[in-house]
Amino acid sequence: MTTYTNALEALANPRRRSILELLRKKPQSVGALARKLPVTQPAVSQHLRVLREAGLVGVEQHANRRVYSVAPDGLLALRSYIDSFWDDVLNTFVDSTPKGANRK
Amino acid sequence: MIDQQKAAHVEPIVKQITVDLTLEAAFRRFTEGIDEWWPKRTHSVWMEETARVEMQSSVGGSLVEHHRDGRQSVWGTIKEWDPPHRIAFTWHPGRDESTEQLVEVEFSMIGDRTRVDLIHSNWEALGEEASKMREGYVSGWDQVLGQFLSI
Repeated sequence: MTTYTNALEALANPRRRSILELLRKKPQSVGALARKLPVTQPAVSQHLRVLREAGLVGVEQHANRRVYSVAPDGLLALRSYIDSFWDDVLNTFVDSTPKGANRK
Repeated sequence: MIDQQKAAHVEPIVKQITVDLTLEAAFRRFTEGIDEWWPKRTHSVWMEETARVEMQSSVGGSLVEHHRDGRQSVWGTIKEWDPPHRIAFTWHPGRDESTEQLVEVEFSMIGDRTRVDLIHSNWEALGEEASKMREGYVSGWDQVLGQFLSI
């Protein structure tokens, strides 16, 4: 189950944001990511696991390698969360309308 | 390291509600009455420690949160003040105003009720603040906005 809290926690880490940025430009393998970042391949794998668990990244098997890419669903969950800020605020505005108004 | 990405256009958030109040009452409640309804325990910089939220009712006035110890956090500045029809204010709670977004709120009469339209735009302002965005947030929700909403 993808939740925005997992996504927010995953993205609180700057390295994971860099990884997501790279995947956003182009789906690629762990090795390719590790070459572009000042970190080891196992560290990249670790970050990718967190991103996958948060629903932000997906993986596909291509012949003998695994190719990672951005998963739009996790980002949509985030977006809905962000949008919900104003839903919450405006609903409070509506719900707080003083009684006695001609509520329908 | 990756190069800094140009902030892409990010769609505004658009919200619409209808409330059982006259135009004037809805406007007043949204603005000078904001402390009566704003969910400040959950949607604020200091959460439970927030004493009140205030909207100063004129162009150039602030939308400001007051901590119970007297500190203030300015969330934004009123840019347009046209009672009871429209207000617009900048929006940068918990942040420097260089990251300010824009919130526009319009009030229109629908029979004996009032429709409130809210548009939250200029998200691009956050995109270039990527490194700063890791610190000092209102809450998690806007932490990743600038970079990731546009995907």
